[in-house]
Amino acid sequence: MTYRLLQGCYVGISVSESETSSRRGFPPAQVNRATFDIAAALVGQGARVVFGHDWRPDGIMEAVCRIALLTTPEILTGRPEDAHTIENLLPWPPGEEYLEEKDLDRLNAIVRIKQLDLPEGLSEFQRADIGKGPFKDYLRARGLTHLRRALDEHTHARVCFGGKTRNYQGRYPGIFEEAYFTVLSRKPIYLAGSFGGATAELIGAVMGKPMPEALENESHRMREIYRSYADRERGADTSGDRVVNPKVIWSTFQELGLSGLSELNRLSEKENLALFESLVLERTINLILAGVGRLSRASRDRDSRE
Amino acid sequence: MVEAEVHDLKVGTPPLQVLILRDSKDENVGPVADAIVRAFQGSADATGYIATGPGVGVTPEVFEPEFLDPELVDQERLHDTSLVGRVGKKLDAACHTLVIVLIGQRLHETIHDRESPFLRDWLSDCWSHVDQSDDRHRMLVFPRDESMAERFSRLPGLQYLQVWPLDKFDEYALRATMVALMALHHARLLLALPLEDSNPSRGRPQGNLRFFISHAKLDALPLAQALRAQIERIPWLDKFYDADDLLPGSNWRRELEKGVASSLIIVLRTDIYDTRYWCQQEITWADQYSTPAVLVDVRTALNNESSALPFTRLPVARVPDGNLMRILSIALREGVKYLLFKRRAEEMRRSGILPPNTELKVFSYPPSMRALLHACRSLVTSKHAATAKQVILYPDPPLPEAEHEAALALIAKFAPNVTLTTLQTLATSA
Repeated sequence: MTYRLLQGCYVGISVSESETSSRRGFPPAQVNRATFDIAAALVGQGARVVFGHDWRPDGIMEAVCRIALLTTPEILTGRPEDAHTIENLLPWPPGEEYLEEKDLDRLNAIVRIKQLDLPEGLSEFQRADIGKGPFKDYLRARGLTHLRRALDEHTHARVCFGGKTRNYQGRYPGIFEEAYFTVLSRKPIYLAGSFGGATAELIGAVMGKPMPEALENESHRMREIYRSYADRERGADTSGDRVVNPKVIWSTFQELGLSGLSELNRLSEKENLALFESLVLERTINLILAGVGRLSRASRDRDSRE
Repeated sequence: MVEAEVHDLKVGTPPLQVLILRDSKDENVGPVADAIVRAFQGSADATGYIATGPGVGVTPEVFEPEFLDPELVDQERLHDTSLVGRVGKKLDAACHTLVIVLIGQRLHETIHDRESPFLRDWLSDCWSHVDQSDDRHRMLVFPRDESMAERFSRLPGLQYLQVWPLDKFDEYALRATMVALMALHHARLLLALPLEDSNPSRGRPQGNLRFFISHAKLDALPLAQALRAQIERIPWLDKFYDADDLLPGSNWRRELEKGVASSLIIVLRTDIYDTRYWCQQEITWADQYSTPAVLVDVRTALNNESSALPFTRLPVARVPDGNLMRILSIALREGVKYLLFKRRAEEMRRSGILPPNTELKVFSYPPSMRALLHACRSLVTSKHAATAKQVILYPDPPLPEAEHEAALALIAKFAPNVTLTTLQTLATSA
């Protein structure tokens, strides 16, 4: 088979600017462009891409929707199941996506957009008028964790680029948490170092480096908030999500190591190192395609044996 | 940290990267940087003289000078892939790197800051690496004016680096476009020089590109002459680009077949173009030989009949405003796209994703059935047919499903041992 080798594969994309992406030659417009290139490459090979990105006026989602406009499988194959090459999950609270209803309707044929609620244990606050303040921050952070759990359930693999390490809204930097859940699920993850940021930090953990103090320090504020409000949530199965401890994430990636990462994502250790260090986007994309392609082939081989 | 040995990885080295250094607070070089970015990565923005539309497939990286200051960079951080202290590694990460430096007032002051030589040092290191690269890389420096250019050229280590003062580039309104065209031109030269079929033997310099103008003499002569004159009045363009008429007959067909990488057809589609025998032949053969081409639609009617001629794969320019630079920018872009794709294919072979004895037929656009049929017949009768793996490569994204099935059926009938694929499909199956 030499056509659309990633059909049936859902790939989560965790991409955003980092504090150093501009220094690396990727100011915000170029981050959007690179996101487009990565998503287009995956969609071109038949994959579906899944984002947990809200519709801030930073252009990433608009850029990504252009891919779907360029490749509209439903029109070309006539099969409704081929629609929606892009899926977008939105965290609580709703109404902050910066898109009007008519725009969401227009995009609905291209992008499957799903608005998530708060976890069940916080459902009483779903529509409450909370106002601003630390409890709202707690709820927003819980909403983000709930989103990231859903993203993990919904995808077969994850690609990580960049990501902030400071001034984040969740209990952890977004890419940290998304990557963490992926690894806990023993799903393949691709860590591209080009944009630096949270992804570069995770690469450091994989390579055995100690966690920088700055990451620990950044988590203090959310740790205090979680201590204050975690017991307002019911449900034992979310107790792990109501604790802030970045060391847990760090040690998970340290224990994974390069060999564990390679086992998960089907890239050799050398290929993973090249992905960590790649200075050219084209090579980064080709490495990711190689890894996801091997997974897809292995999955098809398993299915055909069964 | 273990340095990865990337040379033996089966992913190929990207043929080209473009690095732009500028201070974003220098207002007068901002439009120039934007024009260069748009020339390479495409844009829907119709302002300026650069054509809109998709780019060549290269996303330029844009740097601020402060990010080259080693005092701002933690060198102990793992995987810090910034340019500081590693300029050679960054440049060598691609087969070719085009470094563009746009010097406005702020960048000029930073360069000449006596207290802080980091930018001077970086520029000197960069130029040194480029200069010793044996034409593998290029560095283009565009100071705002001649006096900045003069001061720049007196800096230690930079005396032999040619600079182009922006105030010498024609009218102010055209400068950004001219610089962007020059950047495309140099990118094309970098990609073309290592390829044998990009170097025609006519006493022209290596990397010469021939624009063949296909037109109906009865109504397209003034436009053809104007286009030729536009090319001739730009010295650096004129040296490398010929604009010739396509002569009736078969000689230029053979020349096209042999020199695809050094030829580009500009089709001036006037009202009577479709009805002229030799025009029909020219556009059909261009499709058959997969020659890069650009269509300039200058028909005057408000509605036109459908045509069986193979125009659909061509990028189209219209010039109701007389902007011939739009044609040049699309033409140069198509030239770069073709070479980029061809070099990517070569890298796939070099890196082992394709076996070394692979015989490649490369299209820089999704091939028509006519072009595929010609390619199949050519490969089947090739002297390597019995021993080589034969592959037809075209750019991503892959063909839509119906077209793909039709293409496979055609290949199965005429050249059953040939594989049809794209570069990213090859990467996915590596």
